[in-house]
Amino acid sequence: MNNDMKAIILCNNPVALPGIKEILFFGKVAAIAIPKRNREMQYILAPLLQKTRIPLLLIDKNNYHLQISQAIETYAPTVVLMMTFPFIIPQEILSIPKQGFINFHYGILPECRGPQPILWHLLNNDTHAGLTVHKVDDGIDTGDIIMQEKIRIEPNDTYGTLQAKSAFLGAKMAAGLMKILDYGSIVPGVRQDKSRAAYFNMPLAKQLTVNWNDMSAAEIVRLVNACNPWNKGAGTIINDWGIGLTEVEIVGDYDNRNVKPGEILVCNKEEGLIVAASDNKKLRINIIFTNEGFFSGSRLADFEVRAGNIFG
Amino acid sequence: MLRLGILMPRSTLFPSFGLDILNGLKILLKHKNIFDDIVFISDNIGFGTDEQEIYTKAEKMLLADDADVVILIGEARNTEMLHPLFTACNKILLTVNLGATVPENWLPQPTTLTHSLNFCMHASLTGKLAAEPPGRPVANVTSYYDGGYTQCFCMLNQNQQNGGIPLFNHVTHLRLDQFTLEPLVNMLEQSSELKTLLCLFSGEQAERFYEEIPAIQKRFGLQLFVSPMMLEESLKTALKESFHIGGVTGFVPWHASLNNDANHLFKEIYSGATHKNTNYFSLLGWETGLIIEKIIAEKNIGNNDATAILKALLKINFISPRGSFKIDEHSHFSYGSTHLATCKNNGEVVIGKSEEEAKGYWEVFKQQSIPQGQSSGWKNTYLCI
Repeated sequence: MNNDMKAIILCNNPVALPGIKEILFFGKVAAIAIPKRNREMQYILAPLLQKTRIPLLLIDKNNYHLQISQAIETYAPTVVLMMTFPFIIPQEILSIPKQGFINFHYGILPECRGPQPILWHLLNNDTHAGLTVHKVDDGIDTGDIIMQEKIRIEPNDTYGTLQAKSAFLGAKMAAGLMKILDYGSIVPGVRQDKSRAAYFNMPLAKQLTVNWNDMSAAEIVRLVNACNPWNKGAGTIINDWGIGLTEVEIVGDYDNRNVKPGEILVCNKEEGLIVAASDNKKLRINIIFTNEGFFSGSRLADFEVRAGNIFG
Repeated sequence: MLRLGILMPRSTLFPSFGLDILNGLKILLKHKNIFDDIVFISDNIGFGTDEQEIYTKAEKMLLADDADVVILIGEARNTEMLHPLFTACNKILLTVNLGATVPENWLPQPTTLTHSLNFCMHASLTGKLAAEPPGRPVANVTSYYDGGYTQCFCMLNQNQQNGGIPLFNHVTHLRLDQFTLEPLVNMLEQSSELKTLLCLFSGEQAERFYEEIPAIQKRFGLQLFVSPMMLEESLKTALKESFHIGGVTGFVPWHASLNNDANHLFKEIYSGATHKNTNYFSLLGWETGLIIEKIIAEKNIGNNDATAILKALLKINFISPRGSFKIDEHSHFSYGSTHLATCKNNGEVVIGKSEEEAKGYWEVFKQQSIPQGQSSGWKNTYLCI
């Protein structure tokens, strides 16, 4: 064991928890820091750390440069591990720990840079999501790749299921990384291929809304899955009423040329809520979200929604 | 010159384990007249379970000794931590093992390949065979050690998936002086329909099993389906006249009696150089030499990029003593021929059906579900006891 190795973890999202637990198992963590505003993570991490005597540092967005610098000075880590940490680290701090800053990016690099990679892997209709562990440099998600693993996206995968798979992959890769940091004399990394790089920002509301005229049934399913559960569903409008589609499935074809994309074909308790997509596929809307609550699709009938009404 | 690192474990179960592999490798390289084109850098990794030792020695071979290729004799699971290092250094990691365990995932890494005798795949095929006709009750008979290798799971799982009905697990004690088949006999006395045993032993435990099972087999009319190690010729050599069992069947990657030119050459050259019989370990070394030969050929035409060399290896059908083997582009694991071996009553192994390339089954095998998480604490195979 490299007895000098010591880590500070900067995190924010519960997706990092399996990875954090794995890292804690190695007994090399000096402190964990989260944004002060994140109460959820405080409630989860405080009892977890109580037994270990590892301090939980609460970082203020307005003062984070200074707080992180002070933490590095106080705990003298050889490495800082970032797992979903939302703040950009100033360049002058990056080189202080001997093994640098290392980020867990819950997506594939360099193809899917940016803050919401799981979402964009789904929205972009990618075959795989994944996890990339990389060195942090002065760009966003641009540093040398230490390790990467992919997860095949299954047809029924939602943002939530993919996030859970990514979280557990994070635990496995965290264990691998800890061995490299603990046993090795260098931190290996491979430069990213810029020609394959793409950056995706936070999505606009328009990108999370069903476009019935242009989207195929499969694309609508992907969009709905991408919005489940974090956005409660993909946005759409029926009879001037904004609702979310939380779960949909393709249930066959229709051949009536007079039917318009988004038109409700059936809305009753027996058959459910069936809607026409632009590519002659029928979609059953199983679960919807409204301000009144989550309902089965056929409950729209209680709100005067009928066959022949059109989503748009 | 190729700078070739070799990280070698030692074994108390098979003391000649490392030496036989090394001999197989070096004799092949000499036979191909490329031995002098290689600088060997070797080191010991104990029983192959100390991850830090493996990592630091592999790193030293890359950074201090400037190895182009490192052969690591060990399990793929233990070498996963090395992938980033080898990828970053653009050097080849060639993991070599008998294939008695499987990796946690089959995803290929750019500069890493695993050469294996695919014991798990063969055990899986044997388990499948033992399920015919479906509904046949079986007993799983293994040792404390062998039961911990994934091939035990593979054999049982495929047996059950194909209709076998497990009635009983018999696991012998870790100490040979406490070896007993009595619980198995008790079970056989109570279950007249139980005629099929799935057997997985190696080393001394296999010898003891073969000493004790013939009388039980005769009494109950048993058919034995066995792991590849139980059809290895060295067992017959060790047991001498006491090896007189029949009704033993299993799929094997190779057997000394295989009638092909590459096998004849292997036995002739190897035995001529060492005055020893060939075995699975020397075969593994010999086949590793075939891969090294192709790596040198790539370097000789100016290809010094590890990723590109590995891509070139994927196109080769290696002709070897077992028939042939290839490196699977979707996992970077080698897979090769399979042979159905049967033991006659005089202990003579006869090769029946042979498939030059088990491509179809290899794909099925990879898709089979392997238990998630920690299914076994065994970190090596056939090394310590």
